Amino acid sequence: MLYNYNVKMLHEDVSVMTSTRATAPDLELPRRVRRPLAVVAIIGYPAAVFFWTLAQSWLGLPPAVGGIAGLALILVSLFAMWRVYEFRSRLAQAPDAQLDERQVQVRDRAYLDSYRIFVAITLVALALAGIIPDLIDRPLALTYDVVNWFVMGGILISLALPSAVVAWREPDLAD
Amino acid sequence: MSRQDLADAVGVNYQTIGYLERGDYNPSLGLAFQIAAQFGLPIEAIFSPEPFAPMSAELYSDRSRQPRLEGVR
Repeated sequence: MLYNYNVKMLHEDVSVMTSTRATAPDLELPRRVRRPLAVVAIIGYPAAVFFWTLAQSWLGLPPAVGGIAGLALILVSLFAMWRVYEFRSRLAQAPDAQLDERQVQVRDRAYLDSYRIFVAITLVALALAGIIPDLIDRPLALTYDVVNWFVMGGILISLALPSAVVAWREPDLAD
Repeated sequence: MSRQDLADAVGVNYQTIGYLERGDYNPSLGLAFQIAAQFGLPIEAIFSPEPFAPMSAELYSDRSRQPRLEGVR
């Protein structure tokens, strides 16, 4: 930990301090909003698949309810993915040339954490795919739909994770 | 000098200057030297592993070191 408050004192002393270039303020969200969005971006799709596949057989919901709930979850999840993707001018997706040293550090750490989270999600999904069919006493048939859900989930979650991690972790812009 | 001016001078995003001010980010040695050079100060005048003493404390401690005026008891 370095104490560096003198940076503020020094350049405030030179003249009035103003932030001359706000980064898309309309897209800047406070962390209390970003964190739920980051969670929804990640768990929205698995939750939708849950409703599509298990809501009828396990929860006994009518097919229409499961379908509508699943579709709504997908839409909410896609919205959340877009908002976290746009966070701080797409910091998580930007190349080195567009970032300074702090931003590169934030982005790289986000990718490392994304890998860890992705591995954890994959293990949980595989475990559930093994356990739930036993619980509901219905074998999981590897149909085209089931494989498609896993592949789509893998693609969407792996794309959304770095942005979601950055959106979760970055502090709010003060003053 | 605005936050943006300092950011432009040392080649970082202006938000990074905000993070530096709040102590949310520790700069690289290169950036720390650039900032020090920008203000014409030694690096230890700007960054320190220990909290900086309040300016008032330093001021009063300097005053206490001044010789007393003759005739003042």
